[in-house]
Amino acid sequence: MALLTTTIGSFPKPPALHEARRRFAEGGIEAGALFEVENEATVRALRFQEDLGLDLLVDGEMDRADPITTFAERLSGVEIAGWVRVYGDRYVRKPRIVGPVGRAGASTVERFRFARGAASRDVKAVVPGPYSLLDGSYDEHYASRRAACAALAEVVRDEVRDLAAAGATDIQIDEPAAGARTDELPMLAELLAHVGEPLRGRARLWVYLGYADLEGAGAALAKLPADGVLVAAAHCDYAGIEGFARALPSDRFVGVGVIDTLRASVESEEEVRARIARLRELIPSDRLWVVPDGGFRALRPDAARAKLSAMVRAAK
Amino acid sequence: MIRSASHSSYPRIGDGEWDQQLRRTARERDRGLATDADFRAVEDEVASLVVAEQSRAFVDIVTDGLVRWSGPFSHFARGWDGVALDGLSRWFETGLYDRRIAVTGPVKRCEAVVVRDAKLALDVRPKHYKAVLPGPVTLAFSARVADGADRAAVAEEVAAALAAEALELAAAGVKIVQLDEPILCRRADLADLVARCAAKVFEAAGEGATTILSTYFGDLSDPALDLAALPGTHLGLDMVHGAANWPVLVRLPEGRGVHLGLFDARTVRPETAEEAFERIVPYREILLARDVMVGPQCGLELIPRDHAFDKLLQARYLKEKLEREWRWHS
Repeated sequence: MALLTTTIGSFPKPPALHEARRRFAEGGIEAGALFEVENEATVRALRFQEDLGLDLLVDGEMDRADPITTFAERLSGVEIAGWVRVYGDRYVRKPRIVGPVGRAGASTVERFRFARGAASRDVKAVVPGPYSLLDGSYDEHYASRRAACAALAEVVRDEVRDLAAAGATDIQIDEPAAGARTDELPMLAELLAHVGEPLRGRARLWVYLGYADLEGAGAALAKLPADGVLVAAAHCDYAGIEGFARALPSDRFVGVGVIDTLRASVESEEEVRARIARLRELIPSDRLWVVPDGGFRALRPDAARAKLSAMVRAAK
Repeated sequence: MIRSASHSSYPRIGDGEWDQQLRRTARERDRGLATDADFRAVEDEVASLVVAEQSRAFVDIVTDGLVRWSGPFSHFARGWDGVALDGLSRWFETGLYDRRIAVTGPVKRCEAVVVRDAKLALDVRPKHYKAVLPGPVTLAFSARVADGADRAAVAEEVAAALAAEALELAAAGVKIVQLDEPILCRRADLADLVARCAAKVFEAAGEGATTILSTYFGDLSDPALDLAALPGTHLGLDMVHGAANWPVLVRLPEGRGVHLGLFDARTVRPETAEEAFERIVPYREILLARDVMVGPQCGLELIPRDHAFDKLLQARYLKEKLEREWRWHS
């Protein structure tokens, strides 16, 4: 039985987009011109996925510098503090919450509408989750982490409601920080249920857990309230996957990473097939989705294509 | 004696044009436009700049910012046999990720890891330079090991590898060595093992060396913890996240120096030397009898560079205030 495939969100940005962003930052072009270049890059990312035969597409996040910052900097009550290293040679401009967070309007809906109109298949919308927005920011305003998370959850809830109204049938909430503090998992579950409530019966809610520690928190993470859960696992040779899979509720879709997007070396189709076979022993095929561990933002386009190609061939 | 001190890491990029050089070169390397050698050369320049920048804040004890480290643990895998790099894992509850160490056999040192870095840092001629090493116990208990493997034995092997590193650091002229064991704040039951491993490394650092057993992201308030049994000339305490560490000062063994982590290296909230001063005033008599270092509680790379610099400036101002008001000398 062929398995369904999707990706996590980001794709490599073409040189023309890097150049346009640089010129925009220097005041050389207007926002509208940058938007057009982003649209062209989005279409390329969609064709790239369609050519490979992916089942559920993403817009490639051509307008996002990273998953957290671009969303956060469009909110009121948020400033950008500066560059911070997150892993290896990867850095982000970390936001700083300095007042009540609020949304002037939808942040991701226009890009989603464009991608949906340009794609031949369903497109999954991707939004950062409230817990990871807090984790990826410095909070100088709220009295507690719970208060900050609750405020961010309202913002994310409004965003997913707007996405559903715009026709999104699949919405992914990125929560890579989900397992960072296991004592806060009940709070995260509560917030996710609140965020996903407007989608009930209208769209599927996916939660991406990033590189969560499945050995330590897998069983609790598997039960987070969502229609589907996505998690990286190829990077650590599936450490903790058994406990995670055992704890999955019977109605839950699950996408497990079968290619390591942190390494440039390309997995062979056989390697990926072996990983999928391992997952099939743990998760029923009608609920198992095949995905990469993370986004492709940091990979070269040729490596991203080769990795995804191996993944799709192995899944089919 | 009172001194201001950087803890360990320091931001390797900033907002300025040249401050982005390392990131830019990494991206060029990813696209095949720069070589590994190009990248290493920029790393060396940035490390020297980081030593100079901390010195410019007039901090007494500086580090090289751990600028060349891939992560708190993974960096040392390059010089050891018996380990490999595993999947991504989060550095405690911070937003920093590192490749987890997987233990594949007996851990043995095959080459120096930070000795060259120390020599280059000393060439910048800082007032005092501190070399930082990962804690063997924190590393062993975070590593991926085979089912049933003895993590304590792994920690002892790692300690032997780090002792060899410390010996070469001493030969290179390093007089201050810090061993990071944050796990002690969560696992007081590992205190004996931490003590045994740290003693091995500190002994290799040489007679007369300043040796700091650094703990952070929590406190050492567990009454079962025998502070006198912990080795090192100084004990590093997190006074930001470990509020329960204040009473620990009263329990410090006589003569033991202390590295007080007073400034929060995990937030950009402005802090002042005056605020920190007010917090330590009640402990004046205890502190005056000891050799004390003041600074951030953990590495500064968790915050942007301008904020990191300001935390160090405040540490310096605090030290100067203590010199003035307590007639305490460095």
